Amino acid sequence: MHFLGFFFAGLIFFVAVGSLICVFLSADIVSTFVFEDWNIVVFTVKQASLSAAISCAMAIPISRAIVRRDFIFKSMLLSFLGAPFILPVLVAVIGFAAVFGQSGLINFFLSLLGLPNITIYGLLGIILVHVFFNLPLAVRFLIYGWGSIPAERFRLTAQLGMSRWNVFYCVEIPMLRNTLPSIFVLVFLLCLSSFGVALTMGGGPASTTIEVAIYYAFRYDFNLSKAAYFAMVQICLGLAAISISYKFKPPNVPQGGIDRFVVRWDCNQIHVRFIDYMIISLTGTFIFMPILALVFMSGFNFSSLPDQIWESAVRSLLMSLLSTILAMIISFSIAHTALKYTMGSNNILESIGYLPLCLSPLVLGTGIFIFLLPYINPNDHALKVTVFVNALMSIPFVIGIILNPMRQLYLDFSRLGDNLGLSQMGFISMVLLPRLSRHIGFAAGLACAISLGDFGIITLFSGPNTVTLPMAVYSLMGSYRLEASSSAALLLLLLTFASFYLFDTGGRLFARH
Amino acid sequence: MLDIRELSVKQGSFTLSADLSFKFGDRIAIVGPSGGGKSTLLLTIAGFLELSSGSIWFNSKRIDGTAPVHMPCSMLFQDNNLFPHLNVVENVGLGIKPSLRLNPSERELVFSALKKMDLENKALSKISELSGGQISRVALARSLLRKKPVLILDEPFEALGPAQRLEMINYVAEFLKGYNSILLMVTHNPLDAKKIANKIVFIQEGVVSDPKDTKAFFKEPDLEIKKYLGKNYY
Amino acid sequence: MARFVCVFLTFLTFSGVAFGDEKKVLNVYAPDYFSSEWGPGPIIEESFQKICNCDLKFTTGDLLPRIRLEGKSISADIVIGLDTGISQVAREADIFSKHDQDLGVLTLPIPWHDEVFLPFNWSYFSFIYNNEKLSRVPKSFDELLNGHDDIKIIIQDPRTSVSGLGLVLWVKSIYKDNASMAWRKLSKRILTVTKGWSEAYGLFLQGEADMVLSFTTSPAYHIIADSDHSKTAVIFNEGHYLFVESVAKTKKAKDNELADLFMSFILSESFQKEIPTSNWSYPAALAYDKLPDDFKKLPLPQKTILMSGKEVSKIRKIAIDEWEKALRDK
Repeated sequence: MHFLGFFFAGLIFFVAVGSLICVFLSADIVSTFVFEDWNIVVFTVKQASLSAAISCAMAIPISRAIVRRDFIFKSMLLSFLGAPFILPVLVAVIGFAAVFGQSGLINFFLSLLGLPNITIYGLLGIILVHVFFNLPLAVRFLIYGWGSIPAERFRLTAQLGMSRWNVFYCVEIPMLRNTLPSIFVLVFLLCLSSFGVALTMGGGPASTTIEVAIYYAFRYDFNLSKAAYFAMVQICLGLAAISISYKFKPPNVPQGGIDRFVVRWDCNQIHVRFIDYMIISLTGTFIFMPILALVFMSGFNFSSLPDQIWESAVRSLLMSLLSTILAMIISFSIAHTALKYTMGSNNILESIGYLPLCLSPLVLGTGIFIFLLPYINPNDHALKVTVFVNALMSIPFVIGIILNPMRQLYLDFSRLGDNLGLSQMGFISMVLLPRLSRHIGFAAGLACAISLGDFGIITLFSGPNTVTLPMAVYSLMGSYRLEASSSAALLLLLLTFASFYLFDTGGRLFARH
Repeated sequence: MLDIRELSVKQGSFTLSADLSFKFGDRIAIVGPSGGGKSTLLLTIAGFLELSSGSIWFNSKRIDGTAPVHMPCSMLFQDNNLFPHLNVVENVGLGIKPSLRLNPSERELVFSALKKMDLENKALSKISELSGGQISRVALARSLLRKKPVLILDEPFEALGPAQRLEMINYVAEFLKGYNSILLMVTHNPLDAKKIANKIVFIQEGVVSDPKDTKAFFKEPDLEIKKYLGKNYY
Repeated sequence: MARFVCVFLTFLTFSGVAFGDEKKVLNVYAPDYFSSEWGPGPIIEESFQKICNCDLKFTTGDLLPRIRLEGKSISADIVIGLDTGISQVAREADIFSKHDQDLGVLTLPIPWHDEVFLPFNWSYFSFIYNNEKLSRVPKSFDELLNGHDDIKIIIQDPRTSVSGLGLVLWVKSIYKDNASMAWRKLSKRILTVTKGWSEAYGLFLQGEADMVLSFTTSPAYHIIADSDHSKTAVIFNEGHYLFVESVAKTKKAKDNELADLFMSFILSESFQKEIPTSNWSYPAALAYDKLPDDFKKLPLPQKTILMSGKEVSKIRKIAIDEWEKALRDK
């Protein structure tokens, strides 16, 4: 059983490093790094750190407000929090501009009040959109952190008459110190390889990120060696971030239900409640406005959508299901093996699981193409490659979600399992699967959403029979059909959301405690 | 006087009902099968759970609905009584000031409480370095400082060995000596109950029986209690 | 429903293997927009297959990297959709053979003598504005740069998009050594630079900016498809840079009759008259009076600007650097 974990980890490593080498070896000119290139690296790190820091900082009060209040739409809000993350970039940017742009809602109200308009294009725009994408993710992960605080902790603080600030210091800060760094690193990594957001919201070449530079080197100069250099820098930055986050790895995260409502005695004052509900509604507004804008732009006009949209929707759904299954199997095997072979802090297998986060999709796609070219016609296998790459890209998320709870289960039950003579499969089916089902559901939902919303990996090899829904959305927009494109985007959003919701709630339903 | 009048607490499909009265000096052991409502009763008295109906009175003052900190109770839970990232002195000091900004005389108080619990040489230890008995004593030391008239123990010594448990009971007895107090203690161990309690309350399936004199409880138990105790104990 | 089943089945087999009679296959590489059912792809496929008794197979994606990666071992017979900005680079890959077509039928606004790249459609780069909102429309590039109007425009990145590169070459052609200066002035008008045409045009349609870099033929879409007459292309008196898309035959297909048939099909009227309403541009070989009426009403620039492929490859890097520096210091 454990050979599978090693095999998959080896496969990821092989694909990651192999694609880089393939690209590098195909280069006919060897170029060097110049000063401007470092500027790009600096800007990339700057925007990624700022985006991650702001997302994390905002996620603290938001997740806390959600956890300590009980309201009607709570579980709905929690589910909807996944929506921005799974939105295709192009679509999100258009929805975002409708709210925050030059002629967007915010500026409309500002001019009604006689205030000067805001312009979001530039670093601000990049960060704002990144926060829009990643804040909900950070909130969702932090809610798990909050859920890991035992109820007695809050009873004890209540009994001791601790104020909100005392509770923050004594109970909440220790939890945040354990959970936040890994969330920060996750968001940082996601923003590190940002491409479409930086290109559209950046305002110009001053906001060039590494991934944009790779695209440029690749697309126009055909300077493969520079593309490979940049990809390598990106991997190094990513791995550095990951290894820093290991220093903060939480020792254990007890299982906690996400929609559990924790009674708190330190924050029942009217004004605290008011602030909490304000925070919750503002978050909801921030998340939903761009999506609502999108819904209205599309005019719900599904009937006028070309047939090809429906075909590609079916294709995308099937592909994402396969990707999800693949990602779950690979991640589960790697996590399982990683726990068996090192229960300590630094873990090679685990790091390899996070490796895809640091990869440049463009270099990955090109590398695979170059690798396949001598043997087969890559066109005929475009769908398989896409399924595989999408699975690869969701592995870090799945591992990030299931590894710690799995580690805890091993600590709690592996001796019992050994004692009872449970085989590995027995332990997996008797202990891991039922106890992890809510995490597995969440992870599978996320993986499915990531695969559905993916765009761009197969720019090199595709054809009319391989058009996925996000590609079709883009393509509609590329032929002037903004409205149809919004409808298709809405369809994509609905599908993504439905699959995420099904997996997520499915996992919660099967959860047994 | 602690009066629990026609109390009922609903938790899902489970309902606990109780009508009890305790006076100062009472040492009550609460026994009964798991899931019967022992913790629910204690959490309610300590102010953590909302009442569905009924009321709780202390010294002729109605106290249900007040914040846990203003309840006349100090409660020790089964687990998680201490903050793992604070040391012993800090954990005990929380009993005086949650902000932990203690003045010298308050620090003095903390050390005397630690001394009573024989912990003065562990003052600066981390919680992870303590044994189970020591952890219980730190928590008890904190309750000592809080001087609440009702001490509630929800099986805090269950994980300790017989000798250590006995020792803890002695500490508790020492603790209660000399001031007007009521002890409510959940235990599964009849020996503990015999040792410290003068009355015993039996709870089963949400029904709370009237307190019985400890001797009478063990001498002539009714059928349900017999079933619970097993042959060795009556 | 039947279509869904089809998709499902091809999905299961993972590749559209054709059963039954073995037809000859013509492999065509094309840009992404050929893969959509509303683009020119299906029209070409259908009408060509009618005359050739063959199977035309499109592979869509980023052309230039693909050509350069595959090099001489390219599996395509035909590459369609190469524009003037990248044609020289493609030419240097040395994989194309002569098209052997009569260029006399071409209706481009300039003479065309290329023996390898055969044009099939063209348009001019221009800025599109909403004539119901923008009143003081610049009449020249100079006016756009120096005018007092606070016009905001959205352009595309020359490093990632055809139209972005077109604009850079346009500016370079007009301002020559003063291009840096021109870009510095223009940078104050630029709201944002997008990766591709789609994002820019989407933002423009949403009302984000006064003008967007696009083509003189863009308004035709709005007029014909939506009966919306509010979009107009500016006409600058310095002239407009020409956009030409070509098709080329690879060396691999040198003696392939199907490929020759395809090249002549490209210039045939039956195909050319489909271009205006599928590609929203001018056909490369169709008499002006055979255009749809709405196309005839579109304004045409007085002067056509186009650099030769050699000039482009010489000047591209310098021009983009000028653009980048000017916008960086914005």
